[in-house]
Amino acid sequence: MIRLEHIDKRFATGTAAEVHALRDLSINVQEGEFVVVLGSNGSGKSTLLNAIAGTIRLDGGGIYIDGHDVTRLPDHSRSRWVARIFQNPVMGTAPDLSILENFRLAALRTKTKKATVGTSAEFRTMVEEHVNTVGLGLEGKLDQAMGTLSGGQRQALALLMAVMDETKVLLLDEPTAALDPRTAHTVMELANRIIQKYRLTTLLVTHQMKDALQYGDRVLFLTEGKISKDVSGKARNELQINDLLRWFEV
Amino acid sequence: MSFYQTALLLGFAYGALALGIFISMRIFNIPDITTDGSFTLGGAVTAVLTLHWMPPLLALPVAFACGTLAGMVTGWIHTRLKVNALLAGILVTSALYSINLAIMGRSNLPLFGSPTLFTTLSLPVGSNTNQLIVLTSIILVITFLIGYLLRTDFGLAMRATGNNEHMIRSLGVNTDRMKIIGLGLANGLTALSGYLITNVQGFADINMGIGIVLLGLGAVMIGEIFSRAMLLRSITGQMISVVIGSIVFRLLLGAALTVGIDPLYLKLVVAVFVLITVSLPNLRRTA
Repeated sequence: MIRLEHIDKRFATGTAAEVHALRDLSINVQEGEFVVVLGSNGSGKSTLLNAIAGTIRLDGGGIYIDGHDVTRLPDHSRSRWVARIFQNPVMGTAPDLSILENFRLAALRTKTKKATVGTSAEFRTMVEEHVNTVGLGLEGKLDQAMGTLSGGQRQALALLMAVMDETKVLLLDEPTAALDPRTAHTVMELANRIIQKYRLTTLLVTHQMKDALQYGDRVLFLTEGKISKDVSGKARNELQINDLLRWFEV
Repeated sequence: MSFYQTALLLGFAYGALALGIFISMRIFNIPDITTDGSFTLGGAVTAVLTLHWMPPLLALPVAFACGTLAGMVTGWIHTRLKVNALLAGILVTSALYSINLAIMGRSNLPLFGSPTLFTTLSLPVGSNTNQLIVLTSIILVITFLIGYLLRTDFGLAMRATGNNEHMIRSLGVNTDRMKIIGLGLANGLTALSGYLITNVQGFADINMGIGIVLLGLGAVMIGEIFSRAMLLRSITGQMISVVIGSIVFRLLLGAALTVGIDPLYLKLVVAVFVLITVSLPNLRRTA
């Protein structure tokens, strides 16, 4: 589903502050695979996600999603396949628009936004049912502005929004980093449920070792822009927290 | 014409300008000052077309289109050439000064006896009442058209562009294109305001747009105070508030003139007034 071929990215090229964020990195993620990406700060995890989402341009290499060469496509064109959840809950939703309006835009992620009113009664019922499945206490509040909700509520809604339209790839960049432990747990459980239900090909960047063991079926460890560990299958199931911690010590 | 009538007339005529500022500065969150140039552009185009006996109702879309083009140029400079929005606006406004002069041929162009908007749309009522009815109708139509547009899927994408660019790009919207369209629409409305003012006052002047952006901004801010007080949260409600803000602003300026402030100092009064409105919430916070 996602194929990265020798991707390379440097920041501040030619200056003293040059960072080689991704070094000749290649990987193949199968359809429906749930990959957890670990690594120290500055190891290139977020850069990797941004490269797939298309918010940064590569210096070399190619990116293929669902068989399409997307290397040169801007982020807004890659939304045809890719949905994103940001680290900061504020970034995934529009605060001044209502919950309903946010969902409307999410429902059109892969389509053109036409000059017709799409927030119909029918659509409202559909969103209402969708939102009610998670029990956030937002029943009947679809006209409330998104900005009035808590970070946890916004992150949970962002997850629901991600599957309002056809989604092949879900990118999660430390989705629970800004949330309290209990909310973080709720949001990760919801994410996992959605990923299983829609069989999404997923990349999750996280610093939570517990999450890395609990969720997903493949673990990557990034060191200085390269994949230094790639564990899946039986080996992945036998991983212990201590194994992961040891990776960080090298 | 009474004090209130004048304020109403000008309030409506500048209402289109206020709606334009509302779109650029509030919906898109872009400090666009192409306004000064596109307002005069609307007036210049209107005067020249009217003097060449073009039916005023045809001159209206032409003025709107010219303003739209000016706004799109600013948008293009800002998004594609990555120039700061303020600078992009200054560049276009400065260039428009020359273009407007070239269009008019001289610095002031009276309409004389040519048919204006108000001789074309003439109801059997007094001329002041007629002007008021025509201006009110035009502004109402615009307000509801744009209010509708902003509720459509396309309009939601516009609003999200100014509200959360990261999010709406990840939802498949080319925000550069959206900003170009938005600045086009905003300046189209501004030029339309120039069209209306030219018809009301019967002439276009090369300096008619100087500092006009503050008139719009003042109206938008009064409108926001109004919509907050009235709990008008819908987008159309907010836009109606902006038009009301434009009228209230004219009343305040009219009052300033009536108490004997020299018209020479009008721009100073506007600047001070807008400054007070902008800074009031911050002053209260520190107190």
